Amino acid sequence: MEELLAGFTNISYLNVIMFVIGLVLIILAIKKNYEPMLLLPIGFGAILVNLPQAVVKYASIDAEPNAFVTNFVMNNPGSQKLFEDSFIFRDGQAFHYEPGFLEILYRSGILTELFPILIFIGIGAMIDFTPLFKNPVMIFFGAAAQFGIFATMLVAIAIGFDLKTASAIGIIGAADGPTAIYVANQFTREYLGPISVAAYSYMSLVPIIQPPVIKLLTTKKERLIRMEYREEKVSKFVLIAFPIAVTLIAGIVAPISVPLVGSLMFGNLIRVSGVLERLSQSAQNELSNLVTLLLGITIGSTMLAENFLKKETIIILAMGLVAFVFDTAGGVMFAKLLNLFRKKDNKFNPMIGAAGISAFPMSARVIQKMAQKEDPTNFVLMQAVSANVSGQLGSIIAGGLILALVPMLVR
Amino acid sequence: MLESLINGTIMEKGLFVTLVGMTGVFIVLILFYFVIKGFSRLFPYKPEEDNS
Repeated sequence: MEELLAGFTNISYLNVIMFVIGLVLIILAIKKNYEPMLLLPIGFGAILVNLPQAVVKYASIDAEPNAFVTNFVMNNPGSQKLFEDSFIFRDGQAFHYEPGFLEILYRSGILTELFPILIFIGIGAMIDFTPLFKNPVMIFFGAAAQFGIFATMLVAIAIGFDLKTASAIGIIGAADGPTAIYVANQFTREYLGPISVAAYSYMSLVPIIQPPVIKLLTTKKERLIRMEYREEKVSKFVLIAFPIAVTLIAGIVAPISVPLVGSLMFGNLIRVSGVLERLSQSAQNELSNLVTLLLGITIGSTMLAENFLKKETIIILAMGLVAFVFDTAGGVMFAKLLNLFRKKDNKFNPMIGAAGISAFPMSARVIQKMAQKEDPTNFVLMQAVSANVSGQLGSIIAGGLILALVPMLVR
Repeated sequence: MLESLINGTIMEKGLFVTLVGMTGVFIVLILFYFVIKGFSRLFPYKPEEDNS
């Protein structure tokens, strides 16, 4: 009888709060269209994993505790992590469990970093670097707009987070979900759920976050600046050589970034090669869709009430906003700085700097919309797109450098 | 220098990561810039590519 009522007796108010959070994410995805491809599966995953007994995470749990592991952990504090793949700890006692389907997906797709890397192949196949080749100078905005990552990391340190966790929080500012997941998974698995949710939520909120920051930092006169755009064709050789060259450079300068850069550029090479149309379409559609589907629900499964409902989660979600504000400010201020050294008739519209974040193509659209609001005849879309694709490169490089630098300092 | 940083405060480490990180991102993207410029100059678009 007790087993029949287990669903009722094992539910707590914390589970109910997580159901509400899951529902809010689903509503935001459906009603507001905020990154629905990820927020909906994340929301549903959060509900699934917080159902009584979390069957999707723990398919079965032994009724009796394992005496050996319980005693070992009791006598060796800190050794609990060694057993967490097979044992769940309750009131200091270790119970053996068999993983449920979401735990299996988590181990095989997130812990191995396979899902973010597969997503990058899809993204690479979707990116067209041609606008960047026509405006290569825009690449610098892709670097400047990564300022949010580092500024947020410093704020997180000031609040009291350790360096690894602060870096993983800062990487929300990459405005790049797979990079955020990749770094968080290496540095702070405990906060993988909140960091992923923050990364994807704020990416969808770019049209709300960026305009006020840009307006605050620019004058109307600056927002009216027109930029010349030359329509030039790019040779196929350049399109093909670029992903190979980028992979080689990234591999030499920041070797740890190779899984991310390499997969992105592999996807792009498939696209531009011109001989792998079927594979390119598969990477852009089937591969991306399937992995996104599994990634979302698996990330949702990390949102167990006891892990998610902490004050740190609220801080991390707030820090995501800080990261996007600093990203935007970094790009805009860098454009204004460059304008000090440029001729009067050749200045950058500083709004373009804000498009240097990785949220593609949303940020470029936001900038174009703002420019046309100021002057309906001003077209800056292609320049904004150039900065935006540069942001894709900048965010991955920033992620790679953080992965290389932080472990050097934390021993 | 690295040894003193390892023994430094978390904020000092954070500032180091920020400085080296931002510099690194700029350096790598500057390299990409020159790659694009170099490739575009060495291998410009030729109209006959449209026919191939």
